[in-house]
Amino acid sequence: MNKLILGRYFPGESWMHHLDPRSKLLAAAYFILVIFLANNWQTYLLLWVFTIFVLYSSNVSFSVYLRGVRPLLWLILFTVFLQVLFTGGGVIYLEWGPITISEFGLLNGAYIFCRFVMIILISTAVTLTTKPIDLTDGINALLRPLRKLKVPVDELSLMLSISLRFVPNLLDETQKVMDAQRARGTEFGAGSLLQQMKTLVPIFLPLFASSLNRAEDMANVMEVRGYQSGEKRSTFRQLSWGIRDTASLLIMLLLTISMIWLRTETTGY
Amino acid sequence: MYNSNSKLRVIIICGIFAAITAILAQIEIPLPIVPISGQTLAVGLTATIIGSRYGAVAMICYALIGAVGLPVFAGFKGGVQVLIGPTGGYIIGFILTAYVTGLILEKTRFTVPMAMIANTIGMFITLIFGATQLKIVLDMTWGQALVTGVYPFIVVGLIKAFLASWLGITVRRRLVQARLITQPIKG
Repeated sequence: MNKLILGRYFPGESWMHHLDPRSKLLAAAYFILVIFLANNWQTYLLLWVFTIFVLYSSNVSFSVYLRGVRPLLWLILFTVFLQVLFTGGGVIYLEWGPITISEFGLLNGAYIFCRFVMIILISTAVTLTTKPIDLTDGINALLRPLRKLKVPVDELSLMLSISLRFVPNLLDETQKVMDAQRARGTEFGAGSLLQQMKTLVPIFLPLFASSLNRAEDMANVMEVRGYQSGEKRSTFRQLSWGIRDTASLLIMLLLTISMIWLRTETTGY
Repeated sequence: MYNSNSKLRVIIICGIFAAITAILAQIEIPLPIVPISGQTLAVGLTATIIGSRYGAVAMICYALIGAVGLPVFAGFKGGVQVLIGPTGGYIIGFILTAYVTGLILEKTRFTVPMAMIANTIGMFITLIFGATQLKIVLDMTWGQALVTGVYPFIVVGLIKAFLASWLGITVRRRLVQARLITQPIKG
């Protein structure tokens, strides 16, 4: 359960760790767009080199990344399998009823596989090297322009911080309530479905009741201390955009240019 | 002043319910064939207790705390890669699911049969969103997406919908009795 409190953050001092959350978020989102520029093995190779470079610069061991990919692996392989079986064209290696394994099928399957794994790896790199609270600040900063469109960005980020802060508290409380009910003789996970459902009520009820009470208390406390929504807020944690961040975005630009160059050099469009 | 106060209350309630969803998502109720995760159950419960609009906001918040890397999705998953990945559609679907489930209950009555209808419709919304993203992300045909992402989950989904309805209505009634929420909830 400790995992739920720390998030997936791995503390460290790497290049990636020291980047501003804004530049990491921007770069990751941009990378996903760049992936769709790839259309042959040369471009995919370049993307792989870049991805491995990013993972290396995060200083988190590769096994941690692989653990992130593993739960999705079956689904990805299943898709690749469908692609291989049902995409025709090019040299045909095997034909059996409606199933054909062809050159294009295999290539397409491999490309989809690469696209996926790279997207997962890159976004994992961001979440592993940034604290949840910094990411929240980063998202808040990036969404700020939306305030002009009347999107309540500040309220949303307040809600996020409250949520992040309450996860460990509520976790503790759930554990306590469950223990308290156990002490009163409740057996969890035993009996018929109906009986099991009934044992859930005495967990949920105190949990929801205390949450609603706590929301009330918290609102009062914040108000007493002068919180007013819609006011300009200052922040305790300041984000700072450094030379590394500009450099990272320049690297992304370089990647785009080389991708486009490789595309036109090798396929002519 | 009063206005901003109630707005603040709503923000806090939505935040806390997102946190509750995060915790329930990690609980598994063991059933003979498939264990049921508390994730979808929590969506129904949230919608029943805090209503359509706040329920939907709480789900947006839930998706976002997952996106910033807290492993709040079922099975301790977290991070943007889950949301944009093949199975992320289900989580995005929760937002509309909570809204519609809550809305049906608000427009009718808070009874178990009505909740059952609302939660079943909600389940289909979740599944449709899930299958759509599955189709787009994995480049599947609609048929393949339905076979992988919808059909296997219908029976379990119905059991979950029943569970969410019964629990939601029971818990809600007691909370109303204790004057912790009003009928319907006011911000």
